[in-house]
Amino acid sequence: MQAYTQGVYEIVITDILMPEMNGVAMIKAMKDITPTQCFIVTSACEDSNYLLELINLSISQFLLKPIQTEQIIQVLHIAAKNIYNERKVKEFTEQLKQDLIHQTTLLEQYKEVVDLSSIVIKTDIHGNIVYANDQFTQTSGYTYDEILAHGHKLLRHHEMSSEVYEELWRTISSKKTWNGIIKNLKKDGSHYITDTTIKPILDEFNEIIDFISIGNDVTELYDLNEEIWQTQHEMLLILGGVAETRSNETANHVRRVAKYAQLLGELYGLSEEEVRLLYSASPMHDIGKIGIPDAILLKPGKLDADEYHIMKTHSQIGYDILKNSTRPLLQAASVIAKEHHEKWDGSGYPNALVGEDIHIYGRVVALTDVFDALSCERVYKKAWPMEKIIEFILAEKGKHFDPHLVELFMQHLDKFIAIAAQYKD
Amino acid sequence: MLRFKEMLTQLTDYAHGMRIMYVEDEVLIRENTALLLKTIFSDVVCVSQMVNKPCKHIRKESMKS
Repeated sequence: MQAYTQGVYEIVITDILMPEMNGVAMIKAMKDITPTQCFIVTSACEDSNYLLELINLSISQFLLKPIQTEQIIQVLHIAAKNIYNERKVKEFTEQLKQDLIHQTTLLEQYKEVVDLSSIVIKTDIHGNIVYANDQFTQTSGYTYDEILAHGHKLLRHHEMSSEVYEELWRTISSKKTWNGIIKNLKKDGSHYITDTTIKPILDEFNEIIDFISIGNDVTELYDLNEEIWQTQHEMLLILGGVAETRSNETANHVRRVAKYAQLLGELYGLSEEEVRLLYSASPMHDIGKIGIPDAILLKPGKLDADEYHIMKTHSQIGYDILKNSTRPLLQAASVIAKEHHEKWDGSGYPNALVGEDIHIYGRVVALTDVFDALSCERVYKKAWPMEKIIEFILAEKGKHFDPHLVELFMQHLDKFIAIAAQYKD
Repeated sequence: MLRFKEMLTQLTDYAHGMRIMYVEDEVLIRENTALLLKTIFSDVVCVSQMVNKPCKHIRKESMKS
C-alpha cells in the first residue's frame, strides 16, 4: 500500500492469496483511495466467495493461473484500451468545455456590443415579443413588462402601411432575413425610425424557433433628410413661383401643379421615390421663362409667329439651366422643363416626341399644367367651367395628353378638384 | 479477433505514458511477466509479498523504470 500511495497507477495486477495482505482486502483499500482504479487479478484460487467479492469490487479482468503470455496481453489490451479511450473522452470533453467557455465569453461580449448600439427584440413563432433589451426600453419609452404584455401593436405607427408588415411576415416565415426601415411609435406619441434586420432562428431540423430583430435608430438621420428634402422642395416652389409670377401666373399655380402631379403619379403607379421627385421637381416646369423677354412674356395680346417661336424656347432654356446637375431631383426637373409641352400625338415641342417617348414626368405635368391653367382665373382670362375643362381634356385624350393618364384623371376628378380648392389663389 | 502481434502493437500505443503496479506473493516476482510489462508500459512497479516471512511491510520493489 505504501508503494501504491506514492504513485499513480493506471493498472494494478495482483493475486488473491498473498502472505502479507490478501488481494481482495488490498483492492478494497486501494479502491478507497482511487475508486476508479483498474484491477487485473491473476490467481489459482477459485473460491467463489473471493470471486463474488471481486465482482462486487468491479475489477476489470480475472485470469486463472497458470497464465499464458497471450492471455495477459489480451486482458492488458482490453484494460489499456478502455483507459486510453476514457482518457481521450475526458480530454475531448475538457476541450469542448474550454471551447464552450471561450465561445460563450466571446458571445457575451458580442451581445454587449449589440445591446449597447442596437435595439434588440426577440419574438416567438407567433409574433409575440419574448425579450427586449435596455436600448429598446430607453428608445421607445415602454417598460419591458409593457412591451411583453401588449406586443408589437404598441409600436405600430399610422404611417406604416400594413403591406410592409405583411411582406415582412411573409419573408421571415419563409425562413429568409428581412431588412427595411420601420417607423415606430414611442410611448409619448413621438416616433423613432429604425433600420431593422429580422432573422428567423432555426433549430437543427431547420425549423423556426424564434425571430431576432436588430434595429439601429436612424431617426435623426431620417428627420434631417426629411428636413433637407422639404427645404429643397420649398426652394424649388419659390423659384418656380418666381418664374411663374413673371408671366402673371400665381405662386400657387406651381403648388397646385406639384400636388396634381403627385396624385397623378401615385395613380399611375410610380414608385414612392419617383412620386417624390415628380412632386418636388414639377414646380420648375416653367423655369425657362426667366430667359424670355418681358415684351413677349407680358404681351397682352396674341403672340405673332416669331414671338411664339421665342416663347417656345422656354422649355429648352429650362432644360439647359438644369441639365448639368447630377442630382436626381434637378435631373427630374430638367426633364419636366423640356418635355411638359410635348404632346402624345407628336405635335408638341421642342422635340415633337410621340407617346411614351415623352417621359412620364413630362406627360403628367403636361396634363396637370393645362388643367390648372384652365381652371384658374387670370387677369387676361376667366376660369373655365369644370364641364368645359372635362370636355377639353377628353377631346385631347390621345392627342395632347396620354390617354391612360386622362382616364386616371377622370376616374379621380374629385380629388383634383379638392386640391384646387385647397390651394386656390 | 486481433492477431497477437497487432494486439501487442496496439497495446504498446495505448500503454504509452501509463504506469502499472504488479503485486505478487512469490519470493521472486515472475521475471518474465515483469519484463513483458516493462517492454509495454512506461513505468512498472513490481511488489513481492514473500511467503513465510511475517514482515508487514513491502519487501521489494524489484524493478522500476
